[in-house]
Amino acid sequence: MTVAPASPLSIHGLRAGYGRIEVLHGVDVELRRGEVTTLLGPNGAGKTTTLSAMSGLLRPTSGCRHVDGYHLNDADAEDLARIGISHVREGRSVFPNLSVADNLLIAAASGTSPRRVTDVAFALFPRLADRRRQLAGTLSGGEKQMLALARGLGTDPSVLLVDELSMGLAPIVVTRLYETVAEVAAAGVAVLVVEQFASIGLLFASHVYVMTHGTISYSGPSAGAMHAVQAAYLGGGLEVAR
Amino acid sequence: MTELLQFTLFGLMLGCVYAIAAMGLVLTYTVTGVFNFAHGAVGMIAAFTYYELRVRHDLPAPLAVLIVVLLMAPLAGVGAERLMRRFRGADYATSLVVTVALTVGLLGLTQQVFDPGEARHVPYLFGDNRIVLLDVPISYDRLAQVAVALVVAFGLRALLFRTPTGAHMRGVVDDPELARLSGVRSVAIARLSWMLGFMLAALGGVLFASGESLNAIVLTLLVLNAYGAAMVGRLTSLPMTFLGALVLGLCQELTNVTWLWPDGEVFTRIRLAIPGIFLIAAVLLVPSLRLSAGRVVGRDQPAVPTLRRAAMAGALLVGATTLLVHLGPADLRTYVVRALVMATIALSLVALTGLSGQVSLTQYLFLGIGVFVAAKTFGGQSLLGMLLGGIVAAGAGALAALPAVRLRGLHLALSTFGIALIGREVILGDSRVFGSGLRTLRTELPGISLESDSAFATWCAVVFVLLALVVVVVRRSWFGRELTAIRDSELAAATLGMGVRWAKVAAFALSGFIAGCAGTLYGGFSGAVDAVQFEPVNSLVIVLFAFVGGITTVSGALVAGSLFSLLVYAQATFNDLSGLVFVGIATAAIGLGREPNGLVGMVLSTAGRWRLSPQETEPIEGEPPPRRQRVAAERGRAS
Repeated sequence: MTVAPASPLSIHGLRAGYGRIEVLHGVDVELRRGEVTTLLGPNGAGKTTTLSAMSGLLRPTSGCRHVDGYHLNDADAEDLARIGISHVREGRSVFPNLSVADNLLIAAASGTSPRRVTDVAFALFPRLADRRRQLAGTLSGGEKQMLALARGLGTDPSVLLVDELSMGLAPIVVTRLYETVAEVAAAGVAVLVVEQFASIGLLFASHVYVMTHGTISYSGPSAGAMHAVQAAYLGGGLEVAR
Repeated sequence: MTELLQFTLFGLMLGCVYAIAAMGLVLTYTVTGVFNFAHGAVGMIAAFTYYELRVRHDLPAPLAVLIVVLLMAPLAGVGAERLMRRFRGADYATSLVVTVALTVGLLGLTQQVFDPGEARHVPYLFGDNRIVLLDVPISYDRLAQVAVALVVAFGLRALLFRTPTGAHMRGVVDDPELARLSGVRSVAIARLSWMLGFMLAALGGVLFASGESLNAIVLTLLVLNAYGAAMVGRLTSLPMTFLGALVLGLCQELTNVTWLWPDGEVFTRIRLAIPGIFLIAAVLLVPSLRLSAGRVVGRDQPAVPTLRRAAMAGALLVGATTLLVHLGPADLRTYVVRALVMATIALSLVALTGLSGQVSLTQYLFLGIGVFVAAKTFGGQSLLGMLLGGIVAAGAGALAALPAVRLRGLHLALSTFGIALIGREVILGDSRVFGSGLRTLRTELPGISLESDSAFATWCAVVFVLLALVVVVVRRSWFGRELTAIRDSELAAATLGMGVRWAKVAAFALSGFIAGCAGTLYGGFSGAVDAVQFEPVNSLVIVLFAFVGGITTVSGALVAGSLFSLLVYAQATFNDLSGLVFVGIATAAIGLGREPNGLVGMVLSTAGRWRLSPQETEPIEGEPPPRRQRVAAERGRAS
């Protein structure tokens, strides 16, 4: 029997919050290389807070954050970005007053060459190449999300955390973005997607976590998870109507 | 015509120096979100250091400039970043007070290190060399100002738009959190912007000082004048800041053209007030800011005493003061009186900052107005004169708040400083106001003489207690609750139908009234006053004392006054260390920066006496004001 390789990013019994208000009451999430994991749950369950705690925007108050098996609670977002944890925030995570090219240039602050970031970005989304001089704030919603994703992927991360990829976008764009995410995962990146639309999250993910009230209420393979999802969204205890 | 041309050129050149200083200010502000009020003081101390190196140690001018601007200023900038990192995420008032403390501390340090009695004339950078351009002789120094300003402007542009570091800086400006997620070293970027800011402040200071006699306060205010230019750029745009600086320089120099600017004292005073007027005008050009929703700060609220408790505590204070001055040594009396007078001035800040969260940097103007009105009306000794002084000062307070009341926080505070600069020249500086000194008498009460220091001390305690009771009553009233609501969230207050703007004006008026009444006490204490006693710098100092004592409580004002008196005593006792007193209070203010309730708050919370839970606060007595009843009634009808 061989020892399983350490997860590129995992949290165990993690508690975190804002000021005196605790939001996460002991959350366990473990990502695996080459897999898309999805985190589902109703509004206010703590999904975004979980991502913030994983990427270092928030410091855990207790519990731990492991990167490749190393305990890294004290690392902040800058450090984690530099060791390959890429976090695409909710709602078009771009610098609106900077050009597309500058957005990509700043993404390279985590230690990649700017040239490489640009190449990856334009290969993934050729449309961005046409808009490189344009201010990111003036792009369409889909283009902004492309840029955000390209910023996250261009740095050759080992972990990609994406919050609400589909929010406010046309279905065709959503499918296109998810296909990109799936390709990236297939190339060996550990991906965690927070999703509002359970169906699309379940479609692309192999493992699913369902979150309610700051704790993980279900964890398991995505096939057959719909029941748990509905219970979480609708308050639990409901039989699925057929 | 030559005259016009000459002063146009001079104005542009002066504008270039303003531009250098203002761009540094803007750079630091946009990247770190901290308005470095100490910018002027940094430029001032840089000029003094430059003088020491150049004249005392006989270094060649270029070497002295290099050492000051490229070595010492960046090092100080690193220290400033380290200091301000402690206050990251604090509200504007905290970072404003901390940088005001830096200003006062640097002024004190300068006074301590560089003997103010010594005349220091800074030689020109390039000697007497000059060229003649279109019949106008222009010194090499002025040419250098233009060259340096252009190099700085284009250099900053290249840094920001041509280098990865510049892109990182712009990223931090646009979205600090996303920049951190991208791996941008936010501390390094902040440090760089502080270093650049300090370097530009130092450069501005050295250029301003060239060919002048050094005076710490004058030089600080000179660099401070650049704040108006930074305001034109709305503290964010470097090109607009440059333009604003040129306009400011032109405005100032063109008033030298004889046929453009009329003669007469008033016009001379207005001419001197141009930087202040410019600052106010620039603040007015800032579009009305949206109401802020505020945020959860978890502020520990001091418990508001009941009127009865407050009255009892007041009676106790009056009694204790009387005992102290009668039983204590005779030379204690002046210190007790001074403590009470300063406490009353600090109280005017408690009424404003403590209640409504607005910071005012112009209290000494109100004080001066109060002194003047009381001395010139009703024979100069009447209680009515004191009240009138308070009322006129209240009007001045309302007027000072009026233009900027649609703004909030930093902009409002800066506009009050603009008012202070204008008031210093136009009102207090006018020879018909204080002239070479105005004799001020103590108030005469029917049948009671206040000529003895002990009686006057009791009277000061009585006035302080009465005004403090006014503050307590206001705080316990609906209006006081509205002010607290506005301090917590202007937006939420506005959605409840509160008149946010008028409430601010009223808070300024109340503060002005208290400061005006304090003026009469101050006059009675001093015996004679002149304009120097009401310098804007004093307003900065009293803000620090109020914050250190505890700006949210009446007892904090008393602590602030006592502390002031204590430090004056220390100054008198250890004459050689007089400048260090300011360094001390500045350090205390910085140390207590994280303690919103000052020393009083610290003592009470360690003593476990800090009652802050809402259950323990008693309900407000009385009916809501008619306006709110009407709103409620209309709401009832509508539904």
